[in-house]
Amino acid sequence: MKCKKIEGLLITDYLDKEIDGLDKVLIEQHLACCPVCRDFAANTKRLLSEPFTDIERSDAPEFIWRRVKDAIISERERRRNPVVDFFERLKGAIYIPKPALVFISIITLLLIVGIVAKLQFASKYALKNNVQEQVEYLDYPRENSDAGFGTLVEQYFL
Amino acid sequence: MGNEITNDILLKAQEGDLDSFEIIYRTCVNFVYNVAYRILCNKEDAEEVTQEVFLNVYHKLKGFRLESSFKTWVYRITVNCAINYQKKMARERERQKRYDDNLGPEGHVNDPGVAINSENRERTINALLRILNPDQRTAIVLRNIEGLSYREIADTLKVSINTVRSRLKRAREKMLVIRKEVIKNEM
Repeated sequence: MKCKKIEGLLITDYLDKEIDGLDKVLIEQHLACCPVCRDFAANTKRLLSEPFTDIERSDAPEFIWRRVKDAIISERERRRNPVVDFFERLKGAIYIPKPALVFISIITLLLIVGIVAKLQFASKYALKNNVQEQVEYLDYPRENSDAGFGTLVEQYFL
Repeated sequence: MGNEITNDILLKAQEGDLDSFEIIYRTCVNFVYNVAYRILCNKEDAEEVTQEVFLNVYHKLKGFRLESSFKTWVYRITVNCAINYQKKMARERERQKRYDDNLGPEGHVNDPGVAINSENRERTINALLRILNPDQRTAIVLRNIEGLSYREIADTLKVSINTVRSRLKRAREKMLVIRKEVIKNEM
């Protein structure tokens, strides 16, 4: 493996002990013969890993539980009021987890329905018009059957 | 954590039993608080977020599937609440800055070099975390402080293992540059 690739692994998988098998063997073989990467590995461990080792963990202050408990109890009391409870239930019944997604979906659906309806209306209208025009066209020569079309061909043969 | 919370406790809490919910709270509160603190680098903010996380857990508990990992689920809520809180606070601070000309940038807080020179380990960690963006910081907190595996981090953040690896790599490259600079300045 090349030093660049080794560095990438040293700073992630190797440092976090997420590597095993052949990769680990290859890295260790490389470290054994490459002083630059060996220094890099030692620095990485010293500068990045050690500051976080056995880090002091704080206990959460007790008042947080009191606040959480109070909020839950007051919410339950609010729910005891039948009017509030009704609205809370209604809110729960129509709860939408991703309102933006639902809103976009509704708008898209309305657009599709609108476009389809418009196309259908337009095609019906066009069909109706077309039929009417054809009827009018076909009717025209019958009403004036003697008149002909007034073309030169007609004049020649008739 | 998760080992002490049985499905029985979870089921009772889902039905609204406050005592069972308190057991869940007591089991998880310290890691929630510590994760929030490391992401936000501020104890008061971490307290606010911890409270918000448990109210969220209480409200969402009914929708929690028992076959999923409760630990991962709580981690995810914590990380999301902390990042959202941080964004909200950043917006508020930005607004306040615009109105208050006298309020300068928080140089002593945002400059990792100053804190590292103080040789205070706690400050060093906070200073290192502050130079990272929220995604990188969260990955470092979950890996270096909470000791989660890459798989667990990926499940918590709902990203791929390669994304976790890449965030950790970039975060550590940034931290390494700062640490080296500080050491060079000290010499």
